[in-house]
Amino acid sequence: MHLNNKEHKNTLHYQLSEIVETYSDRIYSIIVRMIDNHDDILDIMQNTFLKTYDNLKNFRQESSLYTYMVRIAINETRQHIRKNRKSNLFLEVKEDLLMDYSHPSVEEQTIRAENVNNLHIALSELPDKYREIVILKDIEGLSMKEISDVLNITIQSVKTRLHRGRLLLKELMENKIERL
Amino acid sequence: MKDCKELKHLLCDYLNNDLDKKACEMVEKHISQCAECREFIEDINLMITRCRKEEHIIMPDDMKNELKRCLNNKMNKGENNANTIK
Repeated sequence: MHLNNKEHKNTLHYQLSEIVETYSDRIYSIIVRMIDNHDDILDIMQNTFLKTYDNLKNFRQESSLYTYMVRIAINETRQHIRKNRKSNLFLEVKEDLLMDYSHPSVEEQTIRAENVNNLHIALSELPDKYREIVILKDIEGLSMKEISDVLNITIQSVKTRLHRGRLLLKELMENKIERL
Repeated sequence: MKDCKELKHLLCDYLNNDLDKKACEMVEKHISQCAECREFIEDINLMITRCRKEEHIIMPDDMKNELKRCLNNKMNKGENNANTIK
């Protein structure tokens, strides 16, 4: 079926709308663990979806689209972190932000805060390249192959970096506990 | 028994269930006899489990609406197109 220009645009608009609905939470969940500024997160989300929209015709499978979007989001996030490194080093704990969005009971909040606190602080102190890989694998559950595609590194490098990231995170968490 | 240093390079694959049967048995034999390595693996496993229990963070509705507004503005720029992302 031949589509004229307007119909083609309508289709793309509809597709973008579907993509935003399907992926915005998953992409947001990754970015918000790396950056804590509302406007910056919004910019990164925008760029991620616009770049995806521009390349929509190249995608056939959902998994490669998601991987592509995570790759853009990670690259945009890295650029942002590099640009803002001097002024914003992601040193603040973001449990307030996390609590606001999940609405647990007061009791649940107390228990969660104790458990969550060390992990979040330790994670925020991990060097970027280890933090992103731990987030992608151990929190967001991407496969080794997907992470290799997202970060454009070999699966062996994913494994090595992940292992170092986990060791470092373990060390950081133990330091937090010792300081309590 | 393999020594701890020799075992270290296998641990990442072991934790990801990526080892073949023979290597896996070798690691398990070692950790059954070495309290230090056993504790190390338990700690890492605990941390991975802790990470996996992290809930996905849902994008707040107002922020999602703001994102849609921004995308609409950019997309409709120069298009004279009335389409909007609902």
